Formats: sequence, structure tokens, C-alpha cells
Amino acid sequence: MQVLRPQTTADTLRLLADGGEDTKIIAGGTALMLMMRNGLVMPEQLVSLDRLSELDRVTVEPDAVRLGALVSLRSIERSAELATVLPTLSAAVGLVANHRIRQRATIGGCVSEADYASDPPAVLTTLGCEVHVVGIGTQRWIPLSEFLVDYYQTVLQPGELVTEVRIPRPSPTARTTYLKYISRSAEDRPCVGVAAHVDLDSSGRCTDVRVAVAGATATPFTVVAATEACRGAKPDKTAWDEVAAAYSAAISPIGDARGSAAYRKHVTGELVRRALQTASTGTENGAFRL
Amino acid sequence: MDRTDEKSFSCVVNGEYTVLTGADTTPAIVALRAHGLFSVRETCGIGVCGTCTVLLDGEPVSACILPLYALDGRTVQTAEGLEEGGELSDLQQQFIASQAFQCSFCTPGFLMSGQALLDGTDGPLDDEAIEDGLQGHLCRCGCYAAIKEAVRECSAARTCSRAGARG
Ligand SMILES: Cc1cc2nc3c(=O)[nH]c(=O)nc-3n(C[C@H](O)[C@H](O)[C@H](O)COP(=O)(O)OP(=O)(O)OC[C@H]3O[C@@H](n4cnc5c(N)ncnc54)[C@H](O)[C@@H]3O)c2cc1C
Ligand code: FES
Ligand code: FES
Repeated sequence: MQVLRPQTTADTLRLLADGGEDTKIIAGGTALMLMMRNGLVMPEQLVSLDRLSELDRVTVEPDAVRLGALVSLRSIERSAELATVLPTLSAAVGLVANHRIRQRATIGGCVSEADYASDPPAVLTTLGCEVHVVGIGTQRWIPLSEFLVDYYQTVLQPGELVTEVRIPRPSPTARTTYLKYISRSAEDRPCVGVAAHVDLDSSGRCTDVRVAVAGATATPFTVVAATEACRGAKPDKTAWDEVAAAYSAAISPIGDARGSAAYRKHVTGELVRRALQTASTGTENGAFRL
Repeated sequence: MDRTDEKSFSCVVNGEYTVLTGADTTPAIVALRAHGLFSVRETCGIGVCGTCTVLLDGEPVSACILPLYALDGRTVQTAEGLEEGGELSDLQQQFIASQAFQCSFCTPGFLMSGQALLDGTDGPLDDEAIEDGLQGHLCRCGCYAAIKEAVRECSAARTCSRAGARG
């Protein structure tokens, strides 16, 4: 087994194409090293992205933020600019694992791993994140909600690479929150997490409500009909109770060591209500561990 | 691991130019221990407990899931590199003064994150900052209060230094 370390995206794509099925990409390696050490995957060859400095870039544009695939979770969390532009993402990233993992883990690896028990993908979903997927002679932008298809599964085809994610700047009046509920140790992955986004018009009525649940289903869970029904409603307990009830009723969560399916179903309703309440009444955008 | 996979990786370990050998994806902890650096200890092997913490270019990382190739051309520090001219660092001495360990298995890991925290900050640290800097470190003997005290005392004195600090 060997690791190839190309220096350009073009070389990376060529190596992936030449390597075929048994070649895998490695970025920070926090997920992959763990799986290899436990014999869960045994690729014949790895293509490391660590020398692709072109992918280790944060670009703040007037209408969006672009994060290169190789940008580490630690640098997202530490960036003062991102804390201002995307405060909830920045804070939610700071709740991932511990600082040693965040130092190595990359945003590209985070979305490509497609682990259901992850925090950032739910926040990214409510923010309307898109993923840039590149192959030899092909490139496409895919909404994260379509990029993630099932447990540990994405739409990535062999030979394809995620080069960056793009996050539209939230509306200046939008309020965002992420609540991470953990059921075991302080630095555990989420049992259930809820990302909420609430935007109001000048009369204080809801214009754009979005909610995504992390950790409970294969991919971030949304009930678009329930959040769209809030349009024009007052951002109060009545509205949030309805959304919470709809989420709790519709979700079919996984049962695992972090909580049974029934428990997660109950927690989902409670957290959706609290996240919406926090987003609509709190004074700060951010992420909170419960 | 297949013998033909063996490669050499040059890096600066505790201030000295060093060649480590192993396969690309040999966990860094294996190569560092083979090099005689026994302060780097494996407990969980999955990035959770912190006993294998080393500083890679000054930042704490888990050596149990760090591939060896990631050390190539980089600077690594382990607890062996904390002392200076045969003298324990201020943080090490404060760990002794605060009795911040019982069995001491977790100690090198806590020292590395504690040192990185001190290196990256100024002035006295409060509990919140210390807990944040020491997150992801487990002490089975439950010496957390004394460990926090050691870092707090050291931050208040702020004369902490160590050999070849930062990179
Ligand atoms: C101890 C521990 C605790 C954790 N806790 C949390 C938590 O609380 N919350 C949370 O959300 N996450 C958590 N994680 C998950 C962590 O965030 C991921 O492991 C990390 O984001 C993966 O990024 P990486 O760069 O290390 O990926 P790698 O391990 O390098 O790769 C992961 C997968 O993605 C593929 N890949 C990587 N980059 C690309 C790319 N650019 N294009 C295409 N494919 C790619 C790889 O082939 C591989 O299949 C935890 C992980 C550990 C080890
Ligand atoms: S042994 Fe590496 S973090 Fe536990
Ligand atoms: S002193 Fe024994 S594990 Fe910490």
C-alpha cells in the first residue's frame, strides 16, 4: 500500500483515474486512518490531498463563502472573518470532536465521509451549501442535500474529487442556531443535533424558516412542508410547536449506542422547538452543546 | 506490513533532525515509539483520549491516527522535548508541585496540550480557557482539578518555557 501525494488537482484526478477502484482519497485521515486501523477498509493505494495548497483556501465573496476542500475544521473555527460571516457554522465546527481532530480534519473530508453522526452537514444544509465535484473533464455543483445520499454514501463516482464547498451568505436579518445534544462524553458525536435558520420580514413575520436534524438519520433530515408552512406566521411558540410536532412525527431515527430510535424521535421534537426558539429570540447566532 | 512498503521520513523531532521509518500509513505513534519516544502512549487508538498527543508544527494532534507521511518535513514535539538542559519545564515542575497525576499514564498528553495552550495565549488563564485547551484528554485517575490547577498556576506565573518552543 502506498500514498501518492500530487501537487495539483489535475495530477490528482489523473492518479485517481489510473488507480481505479482500489484507490481512495485521503485528506486529514481522521476517519480513514481509524477505519484502516480497524480493518474496515483496505485500499491498495491512497491519493493524499495534503500538498494541494490550491484547495486550502477560504474565499469570502460578497454573496458567498467558498471553503476549499482541504481547509481544516480548526482553521474554520479560528477564523475571525468566518465567525462574523457564518457565526453558527464557525461555532458548530468548534463543537466537533476535540481540537486534535479538528486540527487534521478537513471540510472536504467531513462532507465526503457522509457519517450520519456529524454536526457540520446539518448546519451546512440549512445554509444552502453546495459541493463542487470535479472529475477529468467534468465539474458540477451539487446541493449538499443531494450530494449526501445514504449512510456513508455520497453521489461521488470513482475518480471524482470534492474541491470546495460554497455557502451563500445568510440574509442580514436571518438568525441561525445549532443545538448539539450529546448523550455520552463531552466530546462525543451528536445523539441528535438541530440546525435552525429563521428569517423575518419588516413586520416580524416568518419569511424563510429552515430546520435540519443531525445525527439521527442517514443524512440531515428536513421536513420542508412543515417549515414552508411557517411563511407569514408569527415566530412564536404556536408556530414552533407545529414544526416540532411535524419533525418528531415524520422522522424515523436510527437506534444506536447514543440513543434508541424512540428516544431520538422524542428528543428531535424537543430540540427543534428549542432551536427555533433560540434562533428567533436569542441575542446571538451560535452553536450550543446540551 | 509488507517490508517493501518501508520508507524513510525526515522531520525535526524535539529539535533534532530525525529520520523515521515505516510505511506511509503506519500510525505516527508506532514510529515515534520505535524511535525511543515512550512518552507517546496509546490507549484508545481512535483519537478520543489524548494519551498519544504530540505537537505537529506546534499544534496538538493524536499520533494514533496520524499517518507517518504527515510528519515528512515537519516539526514534531513530544514530552521528551519539554525539558531544557536537563531541567524539567515550568509546566512539568508545576505538575509535580500541584500533584497533577497519580499513575501518570495520561500526563505526557496533558503536558503537550497544556504547553500548546500556554504558548498560544498570554497572561493568566481562567477555568473555561483551560478546559477548552485540555479538551479531549481523559485521566482515568481523575486528577482533573489538580491538572487544571497546574496549568492555571503556570499561566499566572507566565515564565513557562520549553526547549525549542514553537516550531
Ligand atoms: C475521535 C473523533 C471524534 C469525532 N467527533 C465528531 C463530532 O463530534 N462531530 C462531527 O461532525 N464529526 C466528528 N468526527 C468526524 C470528523 O469530523 C471526520 O473524521 C473528519 O471531518 C473527516 O475529515 P478528514 O479530512 O480527516 O477525512 P479523511 O479521513 O481523510 O477522509 C474521509 C473520507 O472522505 C473522503 N474524502 C476526503 N476528502 C475528500 C475530497 N476532497 N473529495 C472526495 N473525497 C474525499 C475519503 O476518501 C474518505 O472516504 C469525529 C472523528 C473522530 C476521529
Ligand atoms: S490513543 Fe490516541 S487519542 Fe487515544
Ligand atoms: S494520572 Fe492516571 S490516568 Fe491520569
